[in-house]
Amino acid sequence: MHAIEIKGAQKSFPGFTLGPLDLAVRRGEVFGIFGPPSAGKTSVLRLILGLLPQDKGAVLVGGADAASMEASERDMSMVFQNLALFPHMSGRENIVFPLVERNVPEDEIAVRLDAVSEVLHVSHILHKKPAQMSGGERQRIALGRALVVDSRAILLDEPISALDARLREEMRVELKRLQRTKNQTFVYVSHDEEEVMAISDRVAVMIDGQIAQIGEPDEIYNRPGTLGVAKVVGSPPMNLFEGRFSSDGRYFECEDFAVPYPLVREALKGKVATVGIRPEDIREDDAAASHEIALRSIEPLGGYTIVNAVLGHRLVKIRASGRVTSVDRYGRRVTFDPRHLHVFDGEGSRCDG
Amino acid sequence: MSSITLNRVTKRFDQFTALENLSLDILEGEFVALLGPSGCGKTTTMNMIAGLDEPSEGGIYFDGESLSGIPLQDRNIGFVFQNYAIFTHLSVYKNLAYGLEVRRLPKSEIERRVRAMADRMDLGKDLDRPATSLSVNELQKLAIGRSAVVEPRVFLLDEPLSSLDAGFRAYMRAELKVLQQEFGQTMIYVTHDQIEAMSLADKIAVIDKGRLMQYGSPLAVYDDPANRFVANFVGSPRINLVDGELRDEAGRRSLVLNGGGMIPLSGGVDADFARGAAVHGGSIGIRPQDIYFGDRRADDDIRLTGTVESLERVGPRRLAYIRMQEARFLAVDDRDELSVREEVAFHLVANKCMAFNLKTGERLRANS
Repeated sequence: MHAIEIKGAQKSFPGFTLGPLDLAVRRGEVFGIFGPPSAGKTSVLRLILGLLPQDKGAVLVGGADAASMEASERDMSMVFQNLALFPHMSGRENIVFPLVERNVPEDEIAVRLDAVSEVLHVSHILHKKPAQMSGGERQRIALGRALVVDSRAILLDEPISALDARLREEMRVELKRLQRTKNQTFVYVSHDEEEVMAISDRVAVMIDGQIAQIGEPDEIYNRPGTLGVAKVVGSPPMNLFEGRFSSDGRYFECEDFAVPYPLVREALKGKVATVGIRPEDIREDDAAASHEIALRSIEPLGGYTIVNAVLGHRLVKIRASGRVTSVDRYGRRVTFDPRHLHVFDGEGSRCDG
Repeated sequence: MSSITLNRVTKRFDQFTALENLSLDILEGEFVALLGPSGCGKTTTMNMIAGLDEPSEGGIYFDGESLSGIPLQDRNIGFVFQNYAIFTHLSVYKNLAYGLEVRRLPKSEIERRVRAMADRMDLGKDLDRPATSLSVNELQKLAIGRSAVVEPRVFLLDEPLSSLDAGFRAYMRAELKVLQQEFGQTMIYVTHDQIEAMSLADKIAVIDKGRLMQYGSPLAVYDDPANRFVANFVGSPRINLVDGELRDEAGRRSLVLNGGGMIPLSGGVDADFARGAAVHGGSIGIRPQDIYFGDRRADDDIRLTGTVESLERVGPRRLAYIRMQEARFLAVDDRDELSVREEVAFHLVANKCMAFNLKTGERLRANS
């Protein structure tokens, strides 16, 4: 049985349609929902909570249709980006609030508070009021309040996106650890691709109100199902070349390439297509089939280097492992790793050879 | 273009010291990032350079000339904020021309410079459009273009990319760097994102709690962090820092970890700790890419065993969290062959391990 299921749910807004959506969240997994701003991610959470009644389709909670359930029967906890802490209560009072509401015995409350405080590193700020805490500390208290209850599922909407980059990296690891330990079900929404991919067991990529792909992070990264997914997953983003396959389907012709690129796609004979290559799959190489590039700048990131170059008329990003100390130290020709080319047809659907 | 010198600048707000004794030399045409967590004092520093705020002590000099008493409008500073301040009721052209009109430049000169900047920022065909019709990404390009067109002596950017989506952010990072090279302007860039600082800046000033932690080139800060804070803050994926108690048994040094476990010291890191003989609490820093699996590659490398706790996909790589008693190591699973709950042997490259005094955070080095 799934913790949450959405079956053909659809909701129309003026100028925007959400769905129809189909997804199933397994018990004990982190189900990530990723997409650019205004893709409809938060609306999915609102459907699950019952705050947004769908026009069509159904939401199932614990296998039962949720239509007739009150919000409390759905038994979900929610963590928002705009954390809503009670300003007059201490960190401790904020965290245990839902337990006190449910008349959980005192000793049980103490045990749960301890466990959650340890994981979230908030033991030292439990006595403080929200106004005395930093943004990161307030966010951790808000997380604590959601995690202290054993809900059917915890819905997290950009829970850490207001934090500093470094703190975000630490928090996502801690969150995942906590989820594993307590075997909780998370539905995790974020517009930060790296964060969602790192924390989730499976990810739904949403674009313009639709689910474009659902899969494990590896699968979404290595085999994006649509051009839309390819564009939003990966940082720096995938390099994309628009062109057309030759009439025999054996070459990809593109303005940016000096000569037709040997690539076989029978199904795309004579048709327009987009070929994508991730920055890490481009290598310095002056083999016969290489492309000439004009170097623009380098970004030394320590463990690796981003090389910015122009290929044809297009700015390309290359991720070179190790160090490139100056722009003159990188080759003038590159090749694409043929095992990692991504081909999309005119409609944007993936087309493998 | 100007050089900027901050000489022992302190800034207090009532009881709170936002910045303490900060000295920085920024050369003409340099791109400097002020990097640190929220509340570290980086924006305060920038506000004082801009003239929005005055230092409590110390001085700020442009080309050796003190700035105190010089009003903001006479400092000739270009600003770009996270919330681009664009006149939305004006056209793209009018927005770009505004600063030049205020300076009463001849009309033909204004037109020439506006068009050149619009072309440069890829907004050439949008000149007659109202600014409201631009996308978020185009608005930020317009904001940068509008500041750059007046050719300020100094360009200040406060988290200018943080409201952009990831793909465009990566693109703008490269763009900004090329722009700076073209304009040759002195740029100061405030950010909490170390990737932005690393990729853009000629030099990074790492600031924590109002104090300058280190000032140097991106790779110097990455390769040779002066203290534990800098090591922890710079680099992605994040460095491993394992803390413990230094022990010396018959000349064989080891770090006994908090919560159990032990790391025998050898090679460079052993020599570094030996130097700080009086130190009891120590911390070892090792970057994830300096941990490897399989056979030992050098005699000095430190062999450890642990359990794979979790694996996560971060961009092109899989990262493995390995647990050794209470300590955790983050390593790059470069062969894609680990699985969760597996017992694994792994090695720390001894000469890549950094030694820190746990109490002060200071870096310990054999030869310094």
